[in-house]
Amino acid sequence: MNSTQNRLSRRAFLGIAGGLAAGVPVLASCGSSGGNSNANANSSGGKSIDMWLIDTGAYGPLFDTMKKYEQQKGVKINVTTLPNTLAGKQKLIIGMTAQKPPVVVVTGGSGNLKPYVASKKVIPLDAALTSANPNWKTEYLPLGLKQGTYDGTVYGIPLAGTQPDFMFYSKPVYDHIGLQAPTTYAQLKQNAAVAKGKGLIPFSLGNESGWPGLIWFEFLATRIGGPEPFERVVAGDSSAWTDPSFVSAIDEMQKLMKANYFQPGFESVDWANGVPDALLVTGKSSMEFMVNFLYNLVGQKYPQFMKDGSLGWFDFPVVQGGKGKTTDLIGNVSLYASITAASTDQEKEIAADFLATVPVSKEYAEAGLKASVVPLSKATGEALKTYSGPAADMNKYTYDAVINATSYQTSWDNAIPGSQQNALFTNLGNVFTLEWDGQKFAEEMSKAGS
Amino acid sequence: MLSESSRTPGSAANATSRPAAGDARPAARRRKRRMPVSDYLNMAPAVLLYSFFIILPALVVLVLSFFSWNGTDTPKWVGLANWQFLLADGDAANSIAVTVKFTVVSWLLQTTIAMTAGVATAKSTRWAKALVPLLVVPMLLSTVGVAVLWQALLSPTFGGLSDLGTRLHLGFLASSNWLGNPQIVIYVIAVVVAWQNIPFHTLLYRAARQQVPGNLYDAALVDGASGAGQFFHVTLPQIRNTILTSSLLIVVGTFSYFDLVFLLTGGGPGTASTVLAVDAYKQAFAALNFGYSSTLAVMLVFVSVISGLLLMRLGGFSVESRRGGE
Repeated sequence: MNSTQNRLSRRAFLGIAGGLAAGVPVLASCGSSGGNSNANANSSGGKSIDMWLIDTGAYGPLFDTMKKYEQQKGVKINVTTLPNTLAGKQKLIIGMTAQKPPVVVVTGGSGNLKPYVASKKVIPLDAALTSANPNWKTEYLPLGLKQGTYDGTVYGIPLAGTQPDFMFYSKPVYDHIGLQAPTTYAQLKQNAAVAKGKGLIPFSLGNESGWPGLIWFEFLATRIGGPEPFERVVAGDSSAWTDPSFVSAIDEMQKLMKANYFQPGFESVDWANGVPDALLVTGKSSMEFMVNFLYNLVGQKYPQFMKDGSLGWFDFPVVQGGKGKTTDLIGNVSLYASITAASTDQEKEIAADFLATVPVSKEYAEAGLKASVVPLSKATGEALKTYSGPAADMNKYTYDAVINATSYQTSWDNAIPGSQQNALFTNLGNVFTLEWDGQKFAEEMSKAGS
Repeated sequence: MLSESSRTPGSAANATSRPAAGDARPAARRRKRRMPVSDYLNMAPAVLLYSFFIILPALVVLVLSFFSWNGTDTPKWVGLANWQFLLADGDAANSIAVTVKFTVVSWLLQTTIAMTAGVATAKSTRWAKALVPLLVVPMLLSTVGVAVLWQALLSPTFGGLSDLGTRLHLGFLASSNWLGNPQIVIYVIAVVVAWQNIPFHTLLYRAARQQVPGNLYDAALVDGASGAGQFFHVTLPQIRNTILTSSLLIVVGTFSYFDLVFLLTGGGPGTASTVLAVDAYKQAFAALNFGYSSTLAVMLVFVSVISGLLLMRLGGFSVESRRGGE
């Protein structure tokens, strides 16, 4: 115990401990394979690839369709789903920076995919997919491919159903207080005033996470100034934020707030807890501006309400004198699948074959429609001609809106890089508490973008 | 007035006896300069774990604060640019202000309530015995559970407090916007955090009070001190070290606090509740600005450590507070 031999001086011992602590991560990174345990199996010749995706509930029966494909082709696609939260997105970033990233990575496209394109972590898809299916490009809807195209080259293909934003309303409430679906923004405000007068909440809103309020800003800005100012922002022109349409949109939103047209306390209500939907369904509020997945959600949570046909919707109306039309859509265009550059040639082939055939297939379209998922493929249009299953009305409405769209922007937080995204939500937060006006918001956003 | 320093006549005697003790020990002291290998082996797991999970990441963050990195490309050296930005950044100044407000209010709330409750329940009366187990309940709940619970209570339309206000016809309670009002949100969060942490500090104060020698109170009583007098002149000086420990835990812990703030409001509305830790998190994982986030984190640690050291200095942190030693 108290041996007089083998004495290490305390200093030497702590030095060794520190050295080991510094050395272990170096050793660890040499042998590990990043995020997934199957990576080594891939490189040893097995026909399996890894796919990482953010789960927004927009894939529907994609995985069932995938299983049939796997059986047909004798391949295995290992799917890792990540939650649609900050933590999930963070995991995706970490996965992409590992030594062996997943073969297929699914992101929000647009601004979310851009950094990987810029750092050449994902490959151009034109040639790869054409060798698997020469007609693939015509089988996808061109509007769908746009959000995965950079400088004319396709880097991501739309994998998930499309989810534009609509103004949902309660038909019983509208009938009860004698309202019609509005065709102009002025009429919408009039409807809100009537609802308020009858003691109802005109618009449900749960803006704690920031994106439900963002929908209002997106639409008001594009109805007033058209989609072009934001396109300039996406192209990298930070001064585009000072466009008068953005300032007017903020001012208009604050008018609605001051008139108390939004759900009280909306800044601290998290939409995900279901309170805004509950208000709509129980007749306490008249309208909710939401992504089209509200149709599905209400159908699951409040089936009687749906059976009675009580859920209605319309496009956000035009602003008189504004440049935007009802055919200018905004929403979750889709989720985009890309193939990583670090994958082996065999893995790239397997992935390319999958991406060129499954998402545009008739099977996926038919199965998707039944789950109220509308894939952005011509096959969906074909399937809709004879479709009479569940959600037929919403599916048809969504597809027609996309086919006839003059523009379809992805939700703005997805279109801009991370630093601007954070600034957008923080600055909008200051707008929603009435601390900042439109002018201050525009100035701060242009600073953030530079 | 009882003094807390123990310059008793006895210590002088100890001083003169020390050299004799020293003479008796030289051989033993020589043997003690080097630790045996078995001691190092016993320390090794703790030292390794600490180095790997605490020291190493801290060093990485310190180094990263001089780089610019978005998480996907390679980090780019920018020297002092992040630090210069920090000095000019209005958002960081806001975060510091919010954090200071949060820390001060938390300390006031938690210390006053915990000390009162702790001292009051120190004697084993029947109702003290009943209260103490109840006090422990908030400590048993997970932070996420606490967040979900309080969000449900504070929700503006369907929440418990709102409902109570409606039933009691208290208009202000029925329509209050606790977590959505930027003026009060950080104070509301401080109340929730206090709710979760007061039990722990109550137990600390309770134990401290129980350790105060009874004869001091007898002496005070004889000198004519009332209940309040006993508290201020006997209890407070005697539990001084506990006050210091508890305050240190509260100040350093609250200054770097993340969990409930992020869960309850995510830093909102706007930036009204964005404390430093939440700001650093958002800079890294929302704004993908890992370099600047590291700068904020280093500053946070720095300020926490300084506050802690100042607090200890302020309190003198003496160990000699016992008189008559029982």
